[in-house]
Amino acid sequence: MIAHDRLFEAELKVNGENRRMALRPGETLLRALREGLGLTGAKLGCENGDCGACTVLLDGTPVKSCLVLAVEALGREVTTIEGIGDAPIVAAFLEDNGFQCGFCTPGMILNAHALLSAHPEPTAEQTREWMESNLCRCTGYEGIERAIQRAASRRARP
Amino acid sequence: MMAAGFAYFRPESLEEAIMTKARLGDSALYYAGGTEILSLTRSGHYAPTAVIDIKYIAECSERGAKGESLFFGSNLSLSELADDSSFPLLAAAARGVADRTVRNRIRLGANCAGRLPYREALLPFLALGAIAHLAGPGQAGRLERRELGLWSLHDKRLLLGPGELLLGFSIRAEEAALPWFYERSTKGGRVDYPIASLCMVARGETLSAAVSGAFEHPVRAEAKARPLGLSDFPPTRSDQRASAAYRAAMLDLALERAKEALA
Repeated sequence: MIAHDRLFEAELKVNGENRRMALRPGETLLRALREGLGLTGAKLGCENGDCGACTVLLDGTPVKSCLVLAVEALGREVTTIEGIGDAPIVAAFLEDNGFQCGFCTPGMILNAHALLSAHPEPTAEQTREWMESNLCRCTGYEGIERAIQRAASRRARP
Repeated sequence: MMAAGFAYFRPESLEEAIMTKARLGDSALYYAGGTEILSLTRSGHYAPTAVIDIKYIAECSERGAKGESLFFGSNLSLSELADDSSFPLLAAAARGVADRTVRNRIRLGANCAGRLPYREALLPFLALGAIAHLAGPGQAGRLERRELGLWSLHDKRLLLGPGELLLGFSIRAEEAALPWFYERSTKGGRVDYPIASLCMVARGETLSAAVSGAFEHPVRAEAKARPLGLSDFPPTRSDQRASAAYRAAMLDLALERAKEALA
């Protein structure tokens, strides 16, 4: 049985690299990424699982990292926005103005990236169902939806 | 930020989990998706000294046919259940909870046994009178299992014994295909707590329903050879989200639509 009751030295696999850090067992993955590893792409928004700004991928599945303990990520693969710079959805967000202030953008992009991995040609309903996990308070959702459609159509093109 | 730290245990077997909980006592919590525990710990409503992560216990992740029953393990995420076509009413109820990314974390058992009043994933099982599968510390420090009908195990909440863990629910396989109705009303957008969430199944002339949101806890009701109406339920509740009259009106509309759909 894995048991941790105090600060310990942990190794997390983040964006394909093994990273060592001191970890408290009650620390959230969001805090560990930002404060322990300096990966500030995941944003601290509501810290209550509502806004989605802290979304990262855990073994490819989107999770809100404010609602995940870092210790749960031991032995698993964490992907943050810093790890998917080459993904087509990133360029599509730029082309379709899928952002304005940019605060929600890392979470939006990671969720959209996971959506396109699960559903390469998502329906409007699937897109809505997945993306309603992330809130944007400045640019609106149309550019984001267009970016997802653009990235999907590029993937579908032979 | 979490005010106080807590210890983390990741048992690999059911027995290890139960015995760890028995050893650590009430201030240790079984932990699955963590959404409720982390939110309520952060807000100061919980102060666990330890969490016992049950995600690696194989029995809690089982799903599918077992003899003439369908079993749904407590560790299944609500996203998995929402995408599962084997029990459409459960899929609909699971899809109503929170948003998809949060549903990736919320587990069936935690949603049903949690402290929030809604517990919407419980409703299909409550309407059908499913069997709850439990394990806990028995006499002489040995693991004991029990299986109980949900109608006797549920009184405002699941009546789990000290240190007891919900392993999952089973229903008779043919019950998954019964005619059903589901409706969930919210005051804001789709991602919101329910004003009223209604699950109903028709077994011949008998209608069985379970409702949450409208009351302080999930409530079930049954009627034979007549439609279910507001008078079959206790008075609705008022809070800052909605008045009792508004909740009653939304539930009444849902019951009316259920009557038409299942006629």
